[in-house]
Amino acid sequence: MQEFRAAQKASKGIALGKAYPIRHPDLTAEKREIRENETEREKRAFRQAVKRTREVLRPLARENAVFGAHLDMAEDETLTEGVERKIHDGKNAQWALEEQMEETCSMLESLEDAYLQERAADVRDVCRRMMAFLKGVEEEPFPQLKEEVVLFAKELHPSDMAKIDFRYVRGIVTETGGTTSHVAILARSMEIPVLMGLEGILTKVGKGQMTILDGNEGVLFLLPDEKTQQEYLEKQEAEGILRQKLKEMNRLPAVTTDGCRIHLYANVGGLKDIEQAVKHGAEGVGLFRSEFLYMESSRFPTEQEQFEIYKKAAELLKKPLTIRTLDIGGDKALPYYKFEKEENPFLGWRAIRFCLDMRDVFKTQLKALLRAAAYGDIRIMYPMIVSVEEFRKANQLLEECKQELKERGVLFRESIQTGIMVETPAAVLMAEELAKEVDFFSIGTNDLTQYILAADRGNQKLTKLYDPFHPAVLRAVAQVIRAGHKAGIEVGMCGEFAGDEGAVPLLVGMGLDECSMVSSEIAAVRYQIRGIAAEQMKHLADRVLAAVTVKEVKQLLKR
Amino acid sequence: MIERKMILNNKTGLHARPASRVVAFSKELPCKVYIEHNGKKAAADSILQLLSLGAKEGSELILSADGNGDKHSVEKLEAFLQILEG
Repeated sequence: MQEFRAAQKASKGIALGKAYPIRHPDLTAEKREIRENETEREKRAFRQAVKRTREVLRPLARENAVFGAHLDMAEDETLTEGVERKIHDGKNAQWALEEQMEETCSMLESLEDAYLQERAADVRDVCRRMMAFLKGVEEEPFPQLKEEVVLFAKELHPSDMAKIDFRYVRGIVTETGGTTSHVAILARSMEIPVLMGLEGILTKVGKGQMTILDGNEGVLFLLPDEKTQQEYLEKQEAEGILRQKLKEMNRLPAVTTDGCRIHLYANVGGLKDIEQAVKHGAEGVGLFRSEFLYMESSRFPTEQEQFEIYKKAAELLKKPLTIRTLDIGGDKALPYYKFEKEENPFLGWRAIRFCLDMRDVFKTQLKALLRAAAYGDIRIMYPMIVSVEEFRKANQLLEECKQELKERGVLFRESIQTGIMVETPAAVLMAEELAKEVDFFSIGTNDLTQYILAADRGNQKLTKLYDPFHPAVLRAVAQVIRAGHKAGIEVGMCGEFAGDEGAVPLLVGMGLDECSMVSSEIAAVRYQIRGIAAEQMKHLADRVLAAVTVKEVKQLLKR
Repeated sequence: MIERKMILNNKTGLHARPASRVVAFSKELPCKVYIEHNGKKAAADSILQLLSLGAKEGSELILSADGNGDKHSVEKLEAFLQILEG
């Protein structure tokens, strides 16, 4: 068994099958200096090759825009005149064509835009067709595939893609090519796994050899042993079944078998993520990190700039959108504002502490949020709260903002929900009192874990200690949920824990109302929730909360 | 000789597909039209030259033409580029 790592995972998925190497005919130019009386003959040969290339491309162009561009290239006088000039200078047609092709390609490859660089492959494709006619070699009739195979090629051209019968193609491996190439894009749309950048693989693979292509990990196996084959057959089956089920479930709510509904929200860090959230069927956004607006700017963003982004976000989403106010300082810096170096940045001047001191910066954001909330269901969430006073102060500034907007006569939403991130031990201990004043809780497990366990999550030596499954963290989470429900408010979670397969049953058992996670995890969590009963999970949660060690917790959760 | 400046609004820039449409459109115009960007000048009916401009959304373009119907051609092409989609 041989194992290879690919430079590029161009399309995900797993494929098992017999190798089918495609070896293109040799289309390198035979170079020859010509005499003057041969010029006309070479030009004629070239024009003939161009004419036949155009004839081949014309019907293809009508069906597919990629070939439309190829036909334009074949008809482009820049190319044909360039070749004829070189013939005139004493080169034979093949040599002239090859040189012109290289010059054109290197011009495209020198552009900054990766997409335009990839177009060099299209130029090569067109020139290869011409070269094949010039050399009188038939381009190898593409394999008439009769059984399922994994294709191997030095490089696949878009024109090749049109000749392949994809019903029989399980996977594709190429020596060159990039993830933005047409081939990669086509393969992704057909859900065919592809590995690219496996240099020299054609010299190692034999026709009919068993291969496994793992597009998820970027690994290729030649002649895999029985054990590996078995392992991958299972993986492939599981993946296929899961993908199908997840697709079917995308529009269904996350309801347990006994009717308990959990809201699945997305964590987002920009407008692009919102599109993803919608695509993955998120019921809203549980955490919109507003920092990106500040980090991608060269100065504090204005009210108008922020308003436009928040408004756009709300309009894209059309569902509840919880925006966390600026969480900056500590380890997160701004290019235009110098934070003093602190001994303990995570215990330092950050998040709401920074905002309550930098009132103008904070009020600019609050006004933008109030205005945008007129266009969608926006909720405001304050980070790093340690006391009731902090929450009151923040809300008092919010009231001031409303007053100022009123005076300006600007449209805004008067009754906006405000809640807090529960991520400090102080907020956990004060949860009952806080719950009486806030509209919602969202538990931020990443910071909460590090503060409760007094373990820096960035410290390599502490990775074992930093564990959200520590009973202290779990008890804190349970306490916050209870306090919230006692006061009749919703309790969500927006840390990584909320999307953790091992944690989800426990969180359901604890009665969490909402889980917010990276969009790509939503489908799997939804699937998991639809397979469990809340009543049973309650018993599980009781036992887990009685556990004394991390090990006991994990045994109970079978982790 | 007539010249006009414009900003390219097309989201993807002058990629293969939109460039291909520009080529088809330009071939129908009564005279040869050129598109200039960043000091490079491309014949609007040559896909290779158009691609080599590397024009993106927001790029400033100068359209020019010389000869019979030059004003009409440049205006037509400008209008076409304004509504060009990815």
